[in-house]
Amino acid sequence: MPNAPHWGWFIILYFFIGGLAAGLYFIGTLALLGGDPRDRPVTRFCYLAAFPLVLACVFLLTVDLGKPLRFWHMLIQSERIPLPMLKYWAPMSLGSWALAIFAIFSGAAFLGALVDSGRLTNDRAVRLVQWGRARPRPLGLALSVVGMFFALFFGGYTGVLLVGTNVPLWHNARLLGAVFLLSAASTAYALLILVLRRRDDRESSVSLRKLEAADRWIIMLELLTIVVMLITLGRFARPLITGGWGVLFWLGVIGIGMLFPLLLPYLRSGAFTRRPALGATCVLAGGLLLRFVVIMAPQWPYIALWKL
Amino acid sequence: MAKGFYTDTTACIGCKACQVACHQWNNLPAEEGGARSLTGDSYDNTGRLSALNWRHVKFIEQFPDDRQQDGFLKGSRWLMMSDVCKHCVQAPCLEVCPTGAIIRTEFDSVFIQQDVCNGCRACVSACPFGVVDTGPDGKAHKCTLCYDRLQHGQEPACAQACPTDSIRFGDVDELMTYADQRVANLRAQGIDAYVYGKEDILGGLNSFYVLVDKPSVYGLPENPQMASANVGEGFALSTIAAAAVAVTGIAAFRKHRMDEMAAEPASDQADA
Amino acid sequence: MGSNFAECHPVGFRWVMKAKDRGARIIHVDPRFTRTSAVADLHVAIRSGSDIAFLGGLVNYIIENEAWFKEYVVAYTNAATIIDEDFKDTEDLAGVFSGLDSETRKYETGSWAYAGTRRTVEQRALTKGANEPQTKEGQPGIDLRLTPPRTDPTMQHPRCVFQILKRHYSRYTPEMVSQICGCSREQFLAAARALVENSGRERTSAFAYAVGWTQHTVGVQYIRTAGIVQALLGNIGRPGGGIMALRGHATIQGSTDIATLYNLLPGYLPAPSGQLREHDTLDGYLAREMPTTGWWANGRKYTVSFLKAWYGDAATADNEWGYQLLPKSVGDHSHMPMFTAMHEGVIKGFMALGQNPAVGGQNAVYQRAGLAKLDWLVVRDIFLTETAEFWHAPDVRSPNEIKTEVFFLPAATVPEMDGSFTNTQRLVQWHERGVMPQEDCRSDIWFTHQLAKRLRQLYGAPIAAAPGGAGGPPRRGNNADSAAAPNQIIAPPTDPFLSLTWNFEEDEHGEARAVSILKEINGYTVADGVPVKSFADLKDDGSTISGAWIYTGVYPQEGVNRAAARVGDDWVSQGWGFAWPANRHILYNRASADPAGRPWSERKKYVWWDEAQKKWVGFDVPDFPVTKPPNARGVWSKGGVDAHDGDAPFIMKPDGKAWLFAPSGLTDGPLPTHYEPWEGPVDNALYPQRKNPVAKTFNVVGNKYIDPGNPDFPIVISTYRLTEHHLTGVMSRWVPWLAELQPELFVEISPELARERGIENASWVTVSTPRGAIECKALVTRRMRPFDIHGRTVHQVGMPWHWGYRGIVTGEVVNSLSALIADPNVSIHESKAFMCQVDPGRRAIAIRQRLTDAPTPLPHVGRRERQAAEAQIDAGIELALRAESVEQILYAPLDQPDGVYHA
Ligand SMILES: Nc1nc2c(c(=O)[nH]1)N[C@H]1C(S)=C(S)[C@@H](COP(=O)(O)OP(=O)(O)OC[C@H]3O[C@@H](n4cnc5c(=O)[nH]c(N)nc54)[C@H](O)[C@@H]3O)O[C@H]1N2
Ligand SMILES: Nc1nc2c(c(=O)[nH]1)N[C@H]1C(S)=C(S)[C@@H](COP(=O)(O)OP(=O)(O)OC[C@H]3O[C@@H](n4cnc5c(=O)[nH]c(N)nc54)[C@H](O)[C@@H]3O)O[C@H]1N2
Ligand code: SF4
Ligand code: SF4
Ligand code: SF4
Ligand code: SF4
Ligand code: SF4
Ligand SMILES: [Mo]
Repeated sequence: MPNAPHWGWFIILYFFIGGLAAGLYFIGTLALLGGDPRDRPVTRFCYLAAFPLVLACVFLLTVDLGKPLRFWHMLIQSERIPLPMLKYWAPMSLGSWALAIFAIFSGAAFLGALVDSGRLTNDRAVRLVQWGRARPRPLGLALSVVGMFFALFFGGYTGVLLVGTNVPLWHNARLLGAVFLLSAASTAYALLILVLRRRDDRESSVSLRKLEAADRWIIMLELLTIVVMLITLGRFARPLITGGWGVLFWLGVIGIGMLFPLLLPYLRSGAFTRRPALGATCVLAGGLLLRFVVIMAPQWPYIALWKL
Repeated sequence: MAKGFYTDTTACIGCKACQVACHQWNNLPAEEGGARSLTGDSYDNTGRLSALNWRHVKFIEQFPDDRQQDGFLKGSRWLMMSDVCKHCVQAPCLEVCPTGAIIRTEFDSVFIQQDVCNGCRACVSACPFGVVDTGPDGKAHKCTLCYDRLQHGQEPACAQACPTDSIRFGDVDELMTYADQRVANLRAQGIDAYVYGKEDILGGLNSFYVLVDKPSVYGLPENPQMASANVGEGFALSTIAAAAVAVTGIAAFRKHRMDEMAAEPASDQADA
Repeated sequence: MGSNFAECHPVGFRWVMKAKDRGARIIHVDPRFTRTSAVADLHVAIRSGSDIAFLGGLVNYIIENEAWFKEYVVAYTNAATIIDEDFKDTEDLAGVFSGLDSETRKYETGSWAYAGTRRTVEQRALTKGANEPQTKEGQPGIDLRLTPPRTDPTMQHPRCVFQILKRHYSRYTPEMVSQICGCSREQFLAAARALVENSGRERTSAFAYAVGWTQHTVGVQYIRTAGIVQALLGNIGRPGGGIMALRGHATIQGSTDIATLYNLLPGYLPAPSGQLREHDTLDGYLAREMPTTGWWANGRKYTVSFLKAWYGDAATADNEWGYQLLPKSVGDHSHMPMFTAMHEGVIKGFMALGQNPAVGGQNAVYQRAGLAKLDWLVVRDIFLTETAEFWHAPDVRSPNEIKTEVFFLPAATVPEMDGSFTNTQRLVQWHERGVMPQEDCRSDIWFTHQLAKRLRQLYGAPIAAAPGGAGGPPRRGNNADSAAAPNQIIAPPTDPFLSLTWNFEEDEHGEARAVSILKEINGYTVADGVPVKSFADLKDDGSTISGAWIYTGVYPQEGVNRAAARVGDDWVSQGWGFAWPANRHILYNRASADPAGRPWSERKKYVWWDEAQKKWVGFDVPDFPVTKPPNARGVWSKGGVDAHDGDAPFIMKPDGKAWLFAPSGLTDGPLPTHYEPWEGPVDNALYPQRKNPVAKTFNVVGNKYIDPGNPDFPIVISTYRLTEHHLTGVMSRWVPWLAELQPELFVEISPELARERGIENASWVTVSTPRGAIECKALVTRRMRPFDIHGRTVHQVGMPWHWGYRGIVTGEVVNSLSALIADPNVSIHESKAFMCQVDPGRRAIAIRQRLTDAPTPLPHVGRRERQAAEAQIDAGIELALRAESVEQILYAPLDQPDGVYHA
């Protein structure tokens, strides 16, 4: 049994925010490619939000290191500068690269969104964006698909990173990557839903319906995957589904985070209908809680809850 | 030439000289300045391997329920085992280290380069034996197989200190033949001893043990795996999930369009 | 038995494990299942204090089953010797021997003598009533000057040793053993069989013991019993046999050899006693102490050479070689009596050099109270020990009422000095200085040497030329002051102090060269100072000197130090260190050959007679006159070893035989007899006499003993060591790496007792005896077990005693529980078996108040005063520590009263 790696709140938040960023970028691009013009605001918001979140990720990841100033050792062989440091079989190594590359994509998209939304008028930037856009459609398509790929990878690798340890619960949870990926999507949808609910103009209400539909499917998928995961885990799941952590998991993650939002529409009680944002909020909370329990449970009691 | 330890737990008298020698040679401070409290766990008061404890002697009391003199004396055992980094031939910690801080030395030992480690703790979660841990300095630490001593042709401090030669240092395959003989002897005496750390375990442990009970009794994993064992599947399954996300997403947007087109007039009326 | 070999002698245990590898069986007889038991083939749990029953059981088993080594026993032991007709055994006198004087609680040992060798009435008259100090084994009591002992080779004579022995142990049956010891009959028999099967011509067995055996009111007799077993089995003087005394403390063997004991002079020459009129003259002393037959007939040579070593030119034929200059003991000056003497105000000053009695002394509260009654106390140590700071003890309630002036002198550690260790197997091993001592720390040699020099000055000797280095003339001209100190008498030449020679070579640091001390111990010729090669060369005409005859040969010639030799091999290792006497590794090794001088067996061949060379040869230095043939006939009138036959291996004994029955030398009986500990749980199942009738007791306030069946203290307690700590803990509790391994004081309790008392593992408990009560954690473990003692369940607990109130980790002093009580032969305490009570929770204060006669602690004052006083003390320590030089501290009282702390 390994010692506790002491992955605390920094990592939990990193996983959560990273998921959001990935999800947003993905959905944004999806809306761009698959949606209709009325979905543009969605895309724009996604792009505007994703990049800052990615920056937050970089920050969290760095401060979590025992030696933050050596963050670059993850990418460059510190003894053979500038040879790259990459272990394709090690999720953390891959992840670092994924984060780096995804940062570029989301950064570019961010810039574009700024310009489009007229928030950025500095003509150098504008010209840069135009130059960037001035390319054959298929290539653009390809690029955005690549971007989406990295987004998805980034959203899912965090789970696989845990699978790539020897902590029994994580090591054997082969579906953890999938679960985190789905959760990334569902939380991203939820966030968008919350945002769009704010301004209820016609466009957004249209997109809203799409998003809500997608979110429901994803949540159902996620629920399914979790169940399968728990079954395949067998006794290894114990730290997660029993004791205090079990309560948090069943009540918080499954109950409030998934079942409740799914059932919400069928609940006729005014208390709920008066708060339309409630479902999405729960999904977000559930997503955060999911990462919290999954990361903390097996490290308990060697790690303090408040430990960052 | 692979160097390592053959630890014969049946020759261990739990004197902890190895533990102290390691502290002293590597100048590791005692946790809490030495002022710990009694654990009540037999004679073990230092608990586990950590960034400050690179050796740790375990005490396992096995006494039958039959407390009649003869019963008490028959089959009564007090097992002792000096735990340490196994310097795995296929080392999970080395496998996952994203900075390349963990390397394999010319002695085939697993060594953490302190000037490279950035304290990401991947190795901590990867070592199936709970050996590595990060210290107050934020970096990962563990037994170095006394790399500094080996480079000067000396044997590790712990092995040198062991009064009963329970810990023996040398060429791994030579040690392995000793161990096999020892096991044979013990089996001849009716003790079912065996070597823990042959090829079946992570390609072999350069620090291996002669045990007389199940690995789990000594707090050792029955069959430890490489950390990345399931990573492939993990990614594969994630890809499926990714596909699902994509499909549902596209579907959501596309389908909705269809519906709308179908419902166009209706909606117009609605507008009117 | 009686030792936790693996835990207390881990490095020595290396060889036990090697032997085990080669197929040796290890049997561990110990109340607890220890780390030694863990690697033993058989562990037999017996109640503390019951070993003589167990060993006596072995004797009985061996005799009953005709398992004794006939040829060996007949030829080499005193089995056939006939004992005085007045002798009465414990079987006849309900558990005591003939000669007991119940007033003085002493034996008049005459009736134990060999028939016809009893000392004359006049001789005895000389010692009547004297508080007879213990004397060298063998003497006095028998006098073989006139006739050899009468024997009956058929061993049928009712008063021959064998018959007496047989009768004495006839009731020590396996059933009895199991009743008294609490081990099962089967366990006992298993051990007995294993031992017997592994003894004889082809095989030998060894006993290893330490203080598990000695620390009893019958400690010496424990070992005697083992001696009888081994002699019967022919396991003495043969490879792989013997009784191994695992010597404990650093060079503890050395300090008995070179005599730190009050009743011995170096080389086991008895110290003259003021109470023995025979000791008034050298001749009287020799006549009484040195038998005329056997090796000790050389006693005069050794004594004279020793006196020459001490008094040099002042020792001449006309002044009995300075014999009269020797201080004479006036009673029992062993450790515990010293502390009662402090209480009585007889002893006013005390030097603790490398000792920590505040923790290690029995009834520690009483002993600390003793320290508090002193005028001055000097502590030389490498740490500020509990003794150096005894006023910090929890039971001392007002330090500022303690008038004792305490001087702390920092000592150097072993790696900082040259010197030697003599430990187990009498092996002298040299160690060289690795680094110079820090700051004011000085080695004990430096201290003793400088102290001697300064004292000589104070006694008015001419001021020695000032040596250089740290030992040089102290700053502030203290030397002058001290030389011109008050009451300056120019001593007469016969002054006992100034007559002492003090001519050691001094090195640049003012330290006497250890080698030059070794040379004096080894001995050299007075004429030209050439080292003597062997004690055979020592003379009684004053032409040779030797500090301790047994060490002669360790420094055979100038510049050759055999203690420093380091050539080992996997057999006798003659080239490793020096085993006194004469680098002889196994004593009495002539017994490894049969009477005809042939090895008992090829397998156990060690020393034998080589007919061709006409001498004894072998792997070890023969312990026998080298050219004396096996068939030689002794001529009694010649005396010395010439009185012995060629088949009498035990040359130190007047009769050359191993003593199954000890006609003299012991104060509590010629044959070991099972007595319960002074504080025992039960009556003696074998005799009406429960405990050792002549044990040394201390009827002082605060030292109450209790009888069996006392409901307040029903549990047997034993105290012992852990590998992780050293003795009073000063050398381990101050070291974080060691401290963390066993950080807290604990009491080991069986689950059964824990359940009875409602005690949780690792929870607080209170352990109490009539002397005190202390709090500690409980370690509930199945390694401890209750014993079934004739039908009754007797619980036993155990406590390591390494904790005190100073250091990184602290704990209560276990010796607050133990009692002042001693074995009558060697004055060792009984800390291995006494009675206690164990209660859950922290209740020491409450219980202490309930104790009727507890040691009187010092008067009470409020916390503030106490703190004030401690502050003052600590300031004192500061000052002492800040002093620029040892001299400043040494002389501070002369010119700077506050320079040294006193409360
Ligand atoms: N690590 C370490 N080593 C040491 C020391 C130390 O403090 N620490 N001290 C050194 C010194 S000074 C000495 S004297 C030696 C002492 O060496 P040992 O005598 O081996 O040490 P102890 O632990 O005092 O006692 C040994 C055993 O006697 C058992 N015992 C108690 N009562 C009885 C009894 O009635 N009969 C029998 N058969 N056994 C009994 C105890 O359970 C204990 O296990 O160790 C030396 N070595
Ligand atoms: N209850 C109970 N009491 C016991 C025992 C027991 O088994 N049970 N065992 C008894 C036995 S066997 C023994 S030997 C005694 C031991 O009792 P002590 O001898 O009083 O205890 P130690 O801790 O050995 O004290 C030795 C001191 O010498 C110091 N020292 C070390 N090296 C040097 C040096 O080079 N020079 C000087 N000046 N000092 C030095 C150490 O720091 C330490 O303070 O305890 C006895 N007391
Ligand atoms: S035991 Fe753990 S730390 Fe040591 S090499 Fe193997 S995996 Fe790495
Ligand atoms: S903590 Fe250091 S050694 Fe461990 S994996 Fe990270 S970088 Fe490598
Ligand atoms: S080999 Fe060196 S570092 Fe490793 S445990 Fe032994 S002493 Fe410590
Ligand atoms: S030094 Fe040897 S005997 Fe002592 S605890 Fe370590 S391994 Fe066991
Ligand atoms: S403490 Fe010293 S004497 Fe005792 S076993 Fe260890 S090394 Fe030997
Ligand atoms: Mo001792």
